[in-house]
Amino acid sequence: MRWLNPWALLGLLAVALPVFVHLFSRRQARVMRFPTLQFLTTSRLLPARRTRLSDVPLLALRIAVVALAAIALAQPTCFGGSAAPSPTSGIARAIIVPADPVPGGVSTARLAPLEPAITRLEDSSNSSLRIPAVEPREALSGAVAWLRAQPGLGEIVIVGDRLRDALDSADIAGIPADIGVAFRPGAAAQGDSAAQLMMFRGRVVWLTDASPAIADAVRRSVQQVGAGASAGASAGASAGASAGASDVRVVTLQGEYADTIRALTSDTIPTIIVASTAVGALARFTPARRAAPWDPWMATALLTIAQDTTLASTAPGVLARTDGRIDGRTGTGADMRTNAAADSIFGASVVVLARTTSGTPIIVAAATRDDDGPPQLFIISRAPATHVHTAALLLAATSVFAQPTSTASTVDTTSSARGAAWRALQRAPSLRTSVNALALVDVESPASRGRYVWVAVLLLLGVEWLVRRYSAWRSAAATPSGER
Amino acid sequence: MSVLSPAVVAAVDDLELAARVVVDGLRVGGHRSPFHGYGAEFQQHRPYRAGDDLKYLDWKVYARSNRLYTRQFRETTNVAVMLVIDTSASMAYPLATSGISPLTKFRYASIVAASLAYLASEQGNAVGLMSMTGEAMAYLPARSGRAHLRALIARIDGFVPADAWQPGLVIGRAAELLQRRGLLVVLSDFYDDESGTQRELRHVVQRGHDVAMLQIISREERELVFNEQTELEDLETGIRLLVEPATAAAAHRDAMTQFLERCRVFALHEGIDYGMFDTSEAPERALRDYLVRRATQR
Repeated sequence: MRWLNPWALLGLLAVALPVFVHLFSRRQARVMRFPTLQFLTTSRLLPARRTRLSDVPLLALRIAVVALAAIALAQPTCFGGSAAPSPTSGIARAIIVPADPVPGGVSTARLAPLEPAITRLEDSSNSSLRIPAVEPREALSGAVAWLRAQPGLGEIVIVGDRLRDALDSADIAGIPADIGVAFRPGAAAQGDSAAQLMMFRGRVVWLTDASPAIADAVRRSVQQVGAGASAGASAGASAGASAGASDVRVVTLQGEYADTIRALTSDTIPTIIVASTAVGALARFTPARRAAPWDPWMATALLTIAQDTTLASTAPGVLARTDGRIDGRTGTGADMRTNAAADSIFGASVVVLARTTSGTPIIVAAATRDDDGPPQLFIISRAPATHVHTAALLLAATSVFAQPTSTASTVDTTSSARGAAWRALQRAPSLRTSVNALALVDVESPASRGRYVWVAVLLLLGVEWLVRRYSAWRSAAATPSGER
Repeated sequence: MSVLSPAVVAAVDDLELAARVVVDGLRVGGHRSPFHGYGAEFQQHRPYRAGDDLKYLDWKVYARSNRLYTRQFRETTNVAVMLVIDTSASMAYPLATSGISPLTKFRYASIVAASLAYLASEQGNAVGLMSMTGEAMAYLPARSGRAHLRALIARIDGFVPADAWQPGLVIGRAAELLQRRGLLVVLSDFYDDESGTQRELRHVVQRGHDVAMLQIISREERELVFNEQTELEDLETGIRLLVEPATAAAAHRDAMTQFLERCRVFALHEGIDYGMFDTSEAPERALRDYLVRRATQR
């Protein structure tokens, strides 16, 4: 069982409260008047009076109510632990580690600091298998197959940021539900491109000719599903109002692109710029300077977008991925540096992410890094065929910037949550209803069973009330000559 | 509700308050007299002695046997009944809020006393009342007649159980005020001053009075019916005692049973008529049972 909010388990200490109240309340006995005391002797008082049978169920109920409330606050993700990687030893782990040193990637030498942690993982497992992999997608299927052969619970541990970044939400969603997935960050060494990427927060700008309503739907989709889930909405063309770094802003393009982008100052909020036509937007897309050679973060961002199978599957038939150079399975940041700069529009290095079957580019991405401004990732497209498609695109881009830093939590719970959200998104029949459906996806506590525990708490409170009424009624019936 | 309810009257109307011992009364009535007097009922012959009234000489016997016999008659009298009611605070139990037993012991005693008074009065007996209100004696001399009965019942109705009483004093005084030998009925729980009560009752019996002890007890005080630790406050003294029923109930029940048995055995030894009334029983029924039993014991 995993807890989204383990500190709330400290609330279990509160079970002492009903016990305390039970022991120390009503200490004064009831006074009853009696004809004569000559046949009574002072009786030995029983301190354990309150453990008598009439009180024990009530006390147990109250303890249960408090304990369950604490558990509900801790937000258990699942019960029984069948789908949960638990820290017990009865678990089989497939540990996927980066294999070959790649240029600019994580080398074996950089993996060395992780070795104690991996060994510890192996020691705490019932059985473990270390899978060296360059491309984690293939390793995943092997890991799943091996875990299927193992008894008990299974868990896949993916070590290193590069392997994690190479996976997308569809991969995670493809792992069977009863196998846990855990991510171990790579070593936070200086100069590690992955580590730098983790800490980077740049700006994503999406130029489109969509209507503001669709743009707003996309923005909300991204907020619901993706990295911007926690931020509040800030819609409209108010460029100056920044609600937070992970918000998504919708701006109507006015005048030249450069004027608009300048008005956005230097914040890093992902921005959807709505133009009258995409062609016009493209015509006005004149970055101030040419893009520098691919930075690692740009390469990874573009690769993430290009490799997201969810993106491709959202609009089958319309999109055809024709750019074989970034479609390559072995594509890394280093490959991107050499291969991706083939196309160019108005001199800027761009990547055509999707074309129509006739070859016309639909989605174009470009990345720049000004010397003084924040890094920027530009995505230019026609009005999206579906908002799902566009949201997938934006999400893929923004998720690059919203990854936790390498020193953050070791268990990535957002991946599976995102996978579930994506699946919900793809089932959505239309724009309007799917946006509503998205709102129902509980992104913050994805698999929390807390609500069921709360229901149990309410039920127990009802039972407690009944028992209290019953015992009061019974004690009233048993002492007919009570004090008035 | 008056203490003399129609239900009770109807239940006991056909019975009589029989004097168990032979008492002397003022008038010709329903009770035997120790004196061979000049009543209506022939009892025996005895040899004529000089000075006997020739009016009672049995001439027919003389004619047959040539011996002189004097006819003797059983004299029947009425009896003076003195009711002694315990008005101590311990009689005010169970407390009025209870839903199970609506009658306190005192109320029960009042009903029984009023019924007995009615019964005795109907039989032409004189009925008196002796009790104690506060420090003062409350006394109504034994008289007969409906007016007196009404006054007596009103007096009983007006009693409020409070404080303690001195049973020895009240019983002794009541016996003194019964000038002739009569029937003394004590209605009490007999909690107070057990030895003093017994001593005084013994004296009363020795003076030839017919004595009845009617002990009125409620079920609630015989068994400690509460189930949690309780502080009991004595109704008379106000002393409080913390009681744990789990441990005290058995001992209390034993002590109570012993006490009741002591009272019964004492009454048996001294020739006192003893009746136990439980307030959970209907008074008319209990009183009827008592009177029937008393009549058969004569």
